[in-house]
Amino acid sequence: MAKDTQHRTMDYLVPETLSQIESMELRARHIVEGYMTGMHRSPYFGFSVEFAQHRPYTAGDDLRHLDWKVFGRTDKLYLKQYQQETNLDMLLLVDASGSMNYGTKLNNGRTWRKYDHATSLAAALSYVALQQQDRAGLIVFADRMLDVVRPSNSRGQWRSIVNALKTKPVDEQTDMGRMFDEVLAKLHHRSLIVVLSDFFDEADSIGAGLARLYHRKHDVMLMQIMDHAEMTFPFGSPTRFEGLELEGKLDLDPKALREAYLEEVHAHIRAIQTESHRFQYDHEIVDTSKSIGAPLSHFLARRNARLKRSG
Amino acid sequence: MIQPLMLAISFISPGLAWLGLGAISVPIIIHLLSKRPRKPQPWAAMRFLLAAFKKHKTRTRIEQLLLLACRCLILLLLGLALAGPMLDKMFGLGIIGASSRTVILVVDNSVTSATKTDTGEPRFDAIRKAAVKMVETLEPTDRLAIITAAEPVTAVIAKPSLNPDSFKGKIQNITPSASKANISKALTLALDSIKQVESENRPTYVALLSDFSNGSTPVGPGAASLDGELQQLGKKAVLMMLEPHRSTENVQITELTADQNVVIAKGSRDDTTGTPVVGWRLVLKRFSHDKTAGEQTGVEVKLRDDVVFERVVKWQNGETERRLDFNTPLSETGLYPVTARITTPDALDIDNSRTMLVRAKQKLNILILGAGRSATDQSPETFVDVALAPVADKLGYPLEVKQEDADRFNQKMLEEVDVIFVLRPDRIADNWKLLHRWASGGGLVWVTPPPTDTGIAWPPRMTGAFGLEQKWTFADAPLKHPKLLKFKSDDQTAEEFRRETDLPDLLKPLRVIQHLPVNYDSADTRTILTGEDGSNLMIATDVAPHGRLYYLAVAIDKNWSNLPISPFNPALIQHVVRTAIDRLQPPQIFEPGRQPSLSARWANIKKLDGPNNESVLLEINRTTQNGSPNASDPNNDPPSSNGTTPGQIVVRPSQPLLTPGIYSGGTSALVVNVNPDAGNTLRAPDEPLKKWLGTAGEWQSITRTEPEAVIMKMSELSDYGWELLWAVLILAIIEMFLARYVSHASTTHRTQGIENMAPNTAAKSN
Repeated sequence: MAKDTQHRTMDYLVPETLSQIESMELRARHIVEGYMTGMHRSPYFGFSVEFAQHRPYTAGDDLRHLDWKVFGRTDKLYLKQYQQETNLDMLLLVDASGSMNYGTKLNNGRTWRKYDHATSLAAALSYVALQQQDRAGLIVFADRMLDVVRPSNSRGQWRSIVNALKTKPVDEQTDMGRMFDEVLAKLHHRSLIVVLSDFFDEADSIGAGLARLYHRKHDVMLMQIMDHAEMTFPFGSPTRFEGLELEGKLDLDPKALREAYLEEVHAHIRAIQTESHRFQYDHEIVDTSKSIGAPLSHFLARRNARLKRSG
Repeated sequence: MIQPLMLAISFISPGLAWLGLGAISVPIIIHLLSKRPRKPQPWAAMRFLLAAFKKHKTRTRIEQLLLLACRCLILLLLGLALAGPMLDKMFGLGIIGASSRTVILVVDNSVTSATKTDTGEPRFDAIRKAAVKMVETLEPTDRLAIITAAEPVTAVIAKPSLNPDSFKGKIQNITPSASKANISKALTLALDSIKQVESENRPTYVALLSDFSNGSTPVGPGAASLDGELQQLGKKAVLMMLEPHRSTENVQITELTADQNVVIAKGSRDDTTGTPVVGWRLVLKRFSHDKTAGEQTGVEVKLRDDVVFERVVKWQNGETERRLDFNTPLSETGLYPVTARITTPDALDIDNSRTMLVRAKQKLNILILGAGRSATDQSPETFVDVALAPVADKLGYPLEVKQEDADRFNQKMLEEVDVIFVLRPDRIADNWKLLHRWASGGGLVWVTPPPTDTGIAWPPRMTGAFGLEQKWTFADAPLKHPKLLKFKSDDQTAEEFRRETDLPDLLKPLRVIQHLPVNYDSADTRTILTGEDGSNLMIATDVAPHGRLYYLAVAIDKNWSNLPISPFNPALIQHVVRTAIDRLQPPQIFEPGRQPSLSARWANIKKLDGPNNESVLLEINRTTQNGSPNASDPNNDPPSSNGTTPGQIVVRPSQPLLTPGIYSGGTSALVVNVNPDAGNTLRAPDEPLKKWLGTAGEWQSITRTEPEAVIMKMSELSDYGWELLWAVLILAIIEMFLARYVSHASTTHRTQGIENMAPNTAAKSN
């Protein structure tokens, strides 16, 4: 039974299944619920936070946290407050540059892009965060900010985030350095910044941006979204490769260049890792052909660890 | 450099080489087609691809070109290897892998090899040049044997030997001979040579260098075929034959014969002047394809040094043979050499002369072995003596008769004797062998039974000595059975006798009172006289090689018949003596190149003086059990030709008689004449020649200008092919590894580093 559950859970989180859910909201909930069932129940999930105190209800607060017992006794509306409730600000940075538009055709005939994977993950992460009373925000960017949703945990925040995630990727390249600077300008509190990108940018530039974020005491999680093909370069016959970010075209025999290409990719990833580890930031490779469960677990672990530190 | 290199390389199957060359276009085309992009692929990680491409652009190109070159080279070399490449030695590459060879040269230096070609040079010059050229082709590690095909067939170098170049001198020393060729024997010797080094497993070549005329390779109807054992030759060696010379015209003397070989003074047919005269027949033969009229041939005949006959023959259209008759007087006794010679120059000189011998004798010497001093006026000895020389003045009579006691018969008595009458065979005892030996050299023996009954122990002794034990069977005792004597009607001698006797009507019937019967079972024996009942009364047999034995079953005695007192008696005796002598002492004629077995008459002669002051020693042997004087010498005449019996003395020259002409010793002489057939200078017809040589195997033709071409071609045939195939194999292995390396085939370890960075599956995350 447990194995069947596990299997079904894995089915929920794989791109083949997720790609069939058009609605981002449903997709996110699907991810979270799929994750919550079976083996994905984790003590670090964060739902079992401790009650701290009441505070009077003000217009706009989430009614889910109303303490009805108090209302029954006093006819006054009070909200439960938890220990972490006011400690975590999360900002999701979703890369919508041209390179994120790359995807692989799945068995079901649908194409699952890196951007789809990133936005699904972002939606799930923000859903979980908002469920935890965290304030979640979103910035969709490429060479500039394409869409911004300020961090909040209001009722409409989730919808706002989902709508923002519908932004389509552009052809321009990523400019991570500039993006981090712009993010810094917008953040007033120390936050957990989750960057969902393929990080196809100069490692030095990324490192410089991370350094600035570190200086401002922000926590960063780098989720490097990569297509399986980008990681394995499985092409055999001579092919004309066309860049998605206006890099031009290249005719070559993939077999002849495969090893060299993979070395370049590997070197770049190592550089990113080095930069992130310098600031003790997490860096994770997210394979778009694999289940979303793992990065989700990682995020939750990271979030709980941060909460413990700050608490 | 390219042109000499191209000349240095040739191929057995050039088509395959071209195919290999064309095949290299296949990988080139595939390479070009592979570069054509198939479909566009949108790619996000372009920056990395561009970076990798820039870094490895040159290396990748070199790798791919290297792989392409490797594949092209494999196909090219495969084509070349299968095409059978042959490289010229002058580039030094011929030494690599050139295997050691065995070459047997069979050089035909027989009569027609001396035929002059259009340039005036003898055919043998071209043959010798071809032999030298082939030897110069060989390496020091090659083996060479040389065999000459003219009789006596000789292995100049029998066992194939190394350093062939050192034997060029031996080839230069070979000259045309006067002998006919024995190609079969020469090839047999070649086969023996091959067997001596067979274990070395070398490529072996046999080159038959001949002019292939009808004279050297008789392939016409009835010609002897090659020895069947030679079928092995083609399996053991590559057979090569020099291209035949074209036909050349030639006139030769094929016959020079006398109507009598022994002439007795006052006994010849034409005796008007009192000088003996011998009639001659000379035959000229013309070998020509043209056979046109008008050509002339001059001929002269010399008797000793005097020209006795001259004639210019004008050939008629289509005429190939002309017979000339002439007479020569013999003014004195002795041995007369007669030489006929063509005076008109032609292509072949060696067969333009022919020699014969004729002996003029003053008297015939008759020996009667009988009772000796015991003879009486009525004894057989007296009757025979009188019958032989029925004249009072015997001084000038051509028959010299001597009587001796048969008891004391010895070798000394045989000197200069031509006929022996054995009238007392019972007293010969153990000397029958002496008689046989003497007779075999050209003597006539006439045997009659003894007149008195002394037992008949003598017939077995006689038949034993003459080898007639199984052939002649005598009765145990004389048979008293009166009968008339008759000639056999089909006997040539009888016919001649009838023509020669005077007044046949005067002959009274010959009555036989008793006789010692004899029967025979022999093809060599003939009956000359019979009784009226058919019984044999006189028989005769040859005593090989030159003698004759007569047996008259009736003793020359009145108690046996009326023959002694009949006029028939002297007529019969004299006639038999005269005609038999001519037949019994023919000149001994041999072909060049042989070591003939001579009769015991030569036993006292130490050497022969030949033409050109040549001197040849004579050696004496006793025959072995099989009758052969020396079984191991192939030049000996076989036993059947000399009629030798075990223990008999045989005299032979110590070396072959090579030069045509007269070889004399003491008072005897023999003649060496070129075999006329061996002088046929016309080219042997192709098909019969091919069939004749085909017994030994398949023959390849070699040219006179490049005789070494076949050896060069065959010996370098497969060497480089195999080496190229090895090179192809090595290249294929290199290509396999190179392809795998260049293809950058996807393997797990190349992508593990990146894939491991991705989050694990649910199992791990949970």
